[in-house]
Amino acid sequence: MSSRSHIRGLADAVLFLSVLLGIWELVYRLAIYPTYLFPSPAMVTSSLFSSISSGLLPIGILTSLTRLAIGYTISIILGATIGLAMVKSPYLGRTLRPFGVGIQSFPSIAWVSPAILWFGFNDYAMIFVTVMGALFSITLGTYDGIRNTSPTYINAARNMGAKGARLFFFVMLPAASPKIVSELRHGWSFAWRSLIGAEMIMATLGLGHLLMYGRELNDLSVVFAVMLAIFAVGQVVDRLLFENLQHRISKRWGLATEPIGL
Amino acid sequence: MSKLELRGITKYYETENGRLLALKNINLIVKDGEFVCVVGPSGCGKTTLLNIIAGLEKPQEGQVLLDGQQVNDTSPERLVVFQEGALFPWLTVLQNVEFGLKIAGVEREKRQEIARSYLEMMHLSKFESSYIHQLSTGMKQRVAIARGLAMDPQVLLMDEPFAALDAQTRDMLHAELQNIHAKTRKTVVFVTHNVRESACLADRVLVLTYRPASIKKEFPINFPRPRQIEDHFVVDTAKVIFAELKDEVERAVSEQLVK
Repeated sequence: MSSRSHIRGLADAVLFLSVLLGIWELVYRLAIYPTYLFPSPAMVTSSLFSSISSGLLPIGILTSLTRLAIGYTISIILGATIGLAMVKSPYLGRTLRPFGVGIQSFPSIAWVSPAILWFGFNDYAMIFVTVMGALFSITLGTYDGIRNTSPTYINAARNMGAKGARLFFFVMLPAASPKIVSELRHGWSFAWRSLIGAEMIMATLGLGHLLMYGRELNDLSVVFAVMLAIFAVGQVVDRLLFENLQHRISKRWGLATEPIGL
Repeated sequence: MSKLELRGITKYYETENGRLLALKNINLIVKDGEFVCVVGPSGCGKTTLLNIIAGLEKPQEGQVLLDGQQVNDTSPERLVVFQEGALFPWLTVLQNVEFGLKIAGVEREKRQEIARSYLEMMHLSKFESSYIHQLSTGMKQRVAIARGLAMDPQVLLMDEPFAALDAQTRDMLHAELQNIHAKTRKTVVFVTHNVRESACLADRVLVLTYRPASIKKEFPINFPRPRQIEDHFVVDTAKVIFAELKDEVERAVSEQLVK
């Protein structure tokens, strides 16, 4: 991406956010709703700063990110393993794929109940829900990506003498990489949503818990401040981890290159 | 001297509408250094024949022999240049050309040296760091040919490699291919549906029948090289070959229209 389109993207974003804040402030000043139901941007900002300086938000972010990192890592290891097993065994592929597609649209928050019974109100339960959120999109991404490798690539590689592990690592895996990376990105956003949901219900630290804490205090400005933090963490991780990676792959392969948005 | 020999190759596929006989009793001897073109109507089984020689598909009957030895599996000694190039989009041009040598365990410096020499032969040195999507169709096919030659195969199998090219690029590659063949004396089996192309390139042209494919007629072509596609003897020979091919093309078209 050129620096000119960077600047332009930034200008668009600033304009968009200013309009949004303007409307927000306007509705607040019209005083249609009581202040405790509709705080002003300034109130939310001051809540944001006070919860940062009190350490509430930093601890929440750190707790959630730690759980997320553990859960997501487990999802990747497990998802890649199951995906590869499905590639190896046509029986597993045939049976697990429709099952995986079904369970992918299943709300992972529903796993909170069994998780509490199995693990109790603790980190294990929340990590379990996070894993259930991300696992299947990573599994299916691995499986579909590798299985849809163009037969021409495989024939060409075999003809040049590649087989076994080298055929897999030098041809099938790189051929599947665009699909795998895009499913890793989806998996990450599923994991993030699942975790916040689980934290809201189980109420043991973390950003999800802070949302409920704000509600209990009847302090919507805290709730909004935490929501902003959830949004920001999601955006930052997505940009740092996935956008660059996906952009690099797209550029190399000659797929659509200009990312949409900021 | 016989380099490549096909003995009684028969291939069929089981389809929903019963058995489809693709190749019927194909016998062929290709001499060392010979350039053989196989022409036939689209869908007649030319690619299947090439895949069988390459060992990528197995015939139900018959054998493929290289230097008198029966071969069963696929191997870089019978290397295919695919119709669309089949280049790997995640690798650079140089890495694509090196790929087979890397698999063969050739050390990095040596294989880069070999790859660069063939890229130079194909006038692609400037593009060694490019990715595949950045190249034109003609350049892609030149990379594919360089990749094939870098493996130093016994037999080069070319599957309509110039079918997707515009006429000017194709003429240029015809000249380059003849040049390379003169230099390397590789044995080549070149599949095409373009009769003029076959008359321009080949020492011998084989005309295939339409479904099942068998060898209908052979045309030895002894004109001096390098040849050009508009040379009068190329045009005249192509007319004679096409007269033989015409019935098969008509059969192919009428059968495909009925379906």
